Amino acid sequence: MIPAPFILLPLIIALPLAGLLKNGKSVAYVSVGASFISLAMLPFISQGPLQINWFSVGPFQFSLVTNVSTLNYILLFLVLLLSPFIYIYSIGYFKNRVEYKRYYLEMLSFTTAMALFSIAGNFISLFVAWEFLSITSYLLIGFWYRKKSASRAARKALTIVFIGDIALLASIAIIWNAYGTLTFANLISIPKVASLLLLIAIFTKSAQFPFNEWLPDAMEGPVPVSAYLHSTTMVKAGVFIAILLFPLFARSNVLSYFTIFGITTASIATLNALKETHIKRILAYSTVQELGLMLSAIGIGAIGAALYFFFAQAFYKALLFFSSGIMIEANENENINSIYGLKRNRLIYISTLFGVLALAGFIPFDGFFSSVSISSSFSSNLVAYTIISLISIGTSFFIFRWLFAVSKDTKNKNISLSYITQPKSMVFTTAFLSILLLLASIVFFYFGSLGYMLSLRYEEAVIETILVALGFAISYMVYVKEKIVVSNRLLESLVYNSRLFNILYEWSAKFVYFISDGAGMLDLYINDMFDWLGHATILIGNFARKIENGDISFYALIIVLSFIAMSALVLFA
Amino acid sequence: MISLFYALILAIAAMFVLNSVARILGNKKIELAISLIFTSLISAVIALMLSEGYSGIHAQFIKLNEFSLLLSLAVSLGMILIHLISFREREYADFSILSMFSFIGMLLVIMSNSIVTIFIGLALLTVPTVFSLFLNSKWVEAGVKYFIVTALSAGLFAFGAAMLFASSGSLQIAEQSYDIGNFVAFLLLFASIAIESGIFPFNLWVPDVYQKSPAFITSMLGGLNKKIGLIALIFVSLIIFPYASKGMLAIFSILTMFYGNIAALVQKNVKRMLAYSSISQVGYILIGLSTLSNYGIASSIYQIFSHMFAFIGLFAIVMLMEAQGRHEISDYVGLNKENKIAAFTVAIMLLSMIGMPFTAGFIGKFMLFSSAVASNMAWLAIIGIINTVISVYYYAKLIIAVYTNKAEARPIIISPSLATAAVISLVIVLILGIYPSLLFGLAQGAASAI
Amino acid sequence: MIPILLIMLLLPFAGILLAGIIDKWANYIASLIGLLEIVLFIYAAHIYMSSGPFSESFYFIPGVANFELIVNNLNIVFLFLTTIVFFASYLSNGFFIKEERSSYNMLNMLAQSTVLGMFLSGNLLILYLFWDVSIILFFFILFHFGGLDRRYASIKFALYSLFSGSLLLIGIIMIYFYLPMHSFEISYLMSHGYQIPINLQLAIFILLMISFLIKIPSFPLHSWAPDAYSEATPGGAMLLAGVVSKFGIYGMLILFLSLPIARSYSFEVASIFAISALYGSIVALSQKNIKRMLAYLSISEMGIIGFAVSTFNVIGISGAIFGSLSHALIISLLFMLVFLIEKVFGTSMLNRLNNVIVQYPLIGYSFLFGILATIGLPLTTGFITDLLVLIGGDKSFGLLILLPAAAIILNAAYLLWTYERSFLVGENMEIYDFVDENAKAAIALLVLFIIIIGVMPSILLNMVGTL
Repeated sequence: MIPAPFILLPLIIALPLAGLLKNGKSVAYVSVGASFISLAMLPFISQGPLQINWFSVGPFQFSLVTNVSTLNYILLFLVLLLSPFIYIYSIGYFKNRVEYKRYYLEMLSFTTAMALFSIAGNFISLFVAWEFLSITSYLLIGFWYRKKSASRAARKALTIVFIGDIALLASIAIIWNAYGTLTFANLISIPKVASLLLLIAIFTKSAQFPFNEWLPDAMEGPVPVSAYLHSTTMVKAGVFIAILLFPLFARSNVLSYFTIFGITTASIATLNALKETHIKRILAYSTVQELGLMLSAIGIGAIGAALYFFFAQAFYKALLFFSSGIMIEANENENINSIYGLKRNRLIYISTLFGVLALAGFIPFDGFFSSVSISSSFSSNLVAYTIISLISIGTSFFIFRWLFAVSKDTKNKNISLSYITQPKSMVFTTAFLSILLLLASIVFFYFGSLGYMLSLRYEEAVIETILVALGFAISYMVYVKEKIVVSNRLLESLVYNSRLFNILYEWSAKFVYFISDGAGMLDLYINDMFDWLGHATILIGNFARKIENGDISFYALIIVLSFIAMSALVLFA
Repeated sequence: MISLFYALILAIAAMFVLNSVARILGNKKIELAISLIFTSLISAVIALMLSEGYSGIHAQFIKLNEFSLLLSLAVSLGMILIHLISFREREYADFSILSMFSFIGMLLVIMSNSIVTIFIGLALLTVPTVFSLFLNSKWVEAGVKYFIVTALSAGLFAFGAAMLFASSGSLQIAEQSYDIGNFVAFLLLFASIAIESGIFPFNLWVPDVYQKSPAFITSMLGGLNKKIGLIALIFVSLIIFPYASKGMLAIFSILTMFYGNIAALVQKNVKRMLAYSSISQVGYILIGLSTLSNYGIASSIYQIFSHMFAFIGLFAIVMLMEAQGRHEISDYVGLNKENKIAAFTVAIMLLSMIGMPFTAGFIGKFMLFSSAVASNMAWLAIIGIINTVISVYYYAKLIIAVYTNKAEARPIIISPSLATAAVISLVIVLILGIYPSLLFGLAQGAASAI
Repeated sequence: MIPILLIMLLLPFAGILLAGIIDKWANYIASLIGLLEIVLFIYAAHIYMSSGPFSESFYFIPGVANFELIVNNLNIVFLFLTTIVFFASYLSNGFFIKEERSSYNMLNMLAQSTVLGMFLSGNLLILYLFWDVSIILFFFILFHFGGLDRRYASIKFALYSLFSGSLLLIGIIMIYFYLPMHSFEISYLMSHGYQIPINLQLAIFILLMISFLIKIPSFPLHSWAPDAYSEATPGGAMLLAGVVSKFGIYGMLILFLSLPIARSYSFEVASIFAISALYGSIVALSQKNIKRMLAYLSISEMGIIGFAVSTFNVIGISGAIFGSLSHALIISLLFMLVFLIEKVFGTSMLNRLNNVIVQYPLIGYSFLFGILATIGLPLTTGFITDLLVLIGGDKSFGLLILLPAAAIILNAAYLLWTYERSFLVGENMEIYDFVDENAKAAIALLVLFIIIIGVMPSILLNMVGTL
């Protein structure tokens, strides 16, 4: 048995090794090798907690604790399983780009951070991993930093996520002072303030309302980064913590916030996805929506549903990003209206179709099971159930719109040629992922054995199928047959209203800048105030200089007068 | 046992003869040598007197103790420095004799045991100074002004002494006691001395006279004459009228500090600025006096020492600059490039006046402020602090000028006598700052001997 | 026994003599002295770790004060940061200072001696002496070698600092006279400070706090800092922001550990610092010049450290001491980089800088590292500081920690924004100069220490111990 932290070692060792290598390709191979070794080590790691003392302040000991429980194992498995795919896909993706080395170094640190996060057993190791995730994701989103929008997106992402990081740190401080321990296993409950701060941390990381804007912007990063970010890492961290610390949240009565904010986010994201034309942003909105649904399920205690959704979503989301990467490469365009000819490459087309069906929630794909288990858990609450049903229709609608748009045919020979000549590493990883996707659907039936309750009610299954079919039908009528004309204005107003928060966001940023400008002025005034103190003194000095006019009789007069004044004052006082 | 009085008369006569011989020979160096030997001799005689336990027939006029010994040593040293500074001047021959008279006057004030001695001492101090200002027609304006204010001061002093005699029947310092009749006398005496030592509002003449006088006479006015006035103030206010003076001195201290510092802020002429700075220094010294404690007087003595040497040492450089016609602060730009020693001297002396650690000025101010705190007058110390900060502005202006680079800087040569004076005062200021214990104990002994 | 602390104090003088004799080699001599000081520090730290606090005493003013040098858990980290930052500044001087090298390095070495003396002194009077002399030395460094507006900046620096020093003087004089046995000794003050009458304690506390607020610098008495930092020489800015600002923190530590009254006013003090932290970051956000932005960043960070001191619990104070070190290393790295940028690209204005990272990856990546360390990247010193400060702050003041936390967030926000605008995008610029080995060595030194101590904070935290 290998102690849990050792699973990070191949990745950590690969870092300097990759740093020393000159050839880009060999850097890639080293990284892929490291990720495979880590994956191979996975079955052999030992369960249970492990403590490494880091530093102590006076009598207080701060240590890094790792822990491998079922939950940790699931996340670790997902992270390590997908990372070789991502790494291999990237070899092809970066074929025409020279920056292999920087990319793989950043990617390796990102994976390391995520792996550490998966086995975190106390808040210190959690925070270390959490913050490293924020920062490596900043580097990765801003990978093409010379593009203005990429730099902007990266900055935006880290700025928003950092709010959560500090909130997490503050809640760590509060928890430490309240209970003197930071190990998850030893914590029974946490103060309400701490749990609210944790909530902020989760919401920023998982892009929940009102922090939902950074994730769609993060599409500026390279495609494999998006695939990794959206399937297993980074954004999943928030949800994972919510599941891991569920008992603590439950005890401090903050669960309802998960549901409220989760459903709000899901609705906003769905509305946004309806009108979006950027190929990756549509997928990003769908991720935000899925995260919202997971969190809302956690909010009503449906941990099993959330966890299965968590697991299942990884595969089809990665798959869809992979295939959209191929489409972007083939068309050299990112707008779905200008992307053509997905059907030219059958393998990719079928894989993508699998992914779309899974995302929409068609039986028998894993998306179906996860949607049904979530809607089943909401069946007692009519309002929430209605909203979730609408979201299901919307999801099915926009993802088929996406598919119809990218699979429309073209006469352009170059495009069909470039579909066929896509690098093998990209094509095969995509195809292989679709197989994994099917496997993940089977896992559903064994999921209950992990100890997480799953319910699959027939009524909901039927309703879900109907809803998804409805979404598909509308989409088909609108975009293929063009029988129904959806008023653009209606969609726009919906989207506009959902983007209102984004505008509010920009305004508040402007407001902060305005305040800062004001404070800058205030600072100048404070500065001037002290300077004026000096000027006033000098003014008095000038007056004193005027008294001394050089006339000795005047001096004598002053002397005599002041003598008289002095005597009078002293004698009569 | 020899009588001090005769010793002094003999010494003066001897110096006259020797000086006349030297003038006939026309050798300035001999004159300098004679003056130096003379001043050293007098301090040696005083030291001898003290060691033998002086109690002559003049005991009712003159008193010798640790206080007078320490101060006369200081004054002798200061006098030697002034001779070194003025040695190259055309008027040195006459000035050397006149300054010797002033020197005797200073010693009389320091050793005085009676109001009359103080009066004679002050007169003997000021009148030759006035005459030395008449040596050159360029200085006459300053001479006249100085003459008028000292005459006023002498008049007030005589009047005050008469009133004191009328009410107590004695002029012995030790035999005075406080009553309301005496109090008017005290005010008169105080005003007189305030004019002499430049306490606000009796100080208006100071900048004019300091600016118009040649640098070596200014250095004597500010370095010695002013300090002698303060010593007279110690006798008058601390020994004769201790209870009347406590609050009054504190108030005058505050006024003088503020006036000197604030007026100095806007000055452009170096000598005028230093005149105001010396006024503010008097204000600091008054803090120590106003505490009426031994420690306070000791700290005042320390500060008198530190400012005396800083002032005279600084004027050695002012002298150098004046010879080149450089009077304004802006004229001092680039001095560092021209002469490193001169620039360093200016910087250290000014830093000492600010009260930087490791200079004499710091220990002086430290003792002054701590004496105020020890006498439960921390507020006075805080006002002193505020003034110190104000003063940084104008001192820093000069330091900055000295260390600012100038495009064309030709090295200037400093004459050996000026260099000697500058280096001696530099060494004294630094040693008193680094090894304060050298003077610390002596000053306390002197203070308790009064 | 070798008087190691005295040697530490006097070693720069040997350097000054040498640099005076062979002025061509002044910079190498200074760097050598800096290195030797680190070695001496390590030796002193070794003695301290093996046999506890120790002191050396020499004859000074009999009956009033001895010249006492100490090493204890309060000052050891400050000594460490002094030696490191000075060494880095000596190294960088080789690149930045081309004219009057010898006098500049001599001034710097003198400054190192006084700064070390200030932290080493076991006696308030000696502490004050070095405190004040260092002001004059930095004043000279500022106005003789500084930027274009140096006259204004240097006089302002001198006036503010000397005012602060003078208040300190009054404070220690009052302490001396109101302690039962008149004494300047810090250890005696710490053990008998409670015997000072309570109203006088308050007076002393207010005087000293004003003095420290100026020195730290903290809102509303910070006006000297942005001018001084941005007009200073590169080394001067590193030292002023990195080392001299710690005088106030060190003074506050002594004050809080000595006078019981400080504890009853700790909430007020903490509020001032928390506001200062937030204020600094708000003002920094809209600055147009990176130097001034860093100056306000420094004010903000020092506010956080001051906040940590006023928590007055073990974790908070350890956080303050550790944070002082962290801030010293990081801010001096950032200041050096921004001066490098100014030298290489001819400007430090935000809107004129473009695309630094492509044209000078060394500067670009180091600056990014500095930013990340500032905002608390784990495995750098910044993280440990943030963690300890927030834990300590929450223990004493509860939700008041949200103010410094907000300051940290804002700092991250504008630093990243700045980085985006000036380092990542835009057209290429003209390059005027190339960074040489000296500056590279200085960068490497600081980065290395930020990481080493961030990974193994116990090296220093064990020295601080339980207080």
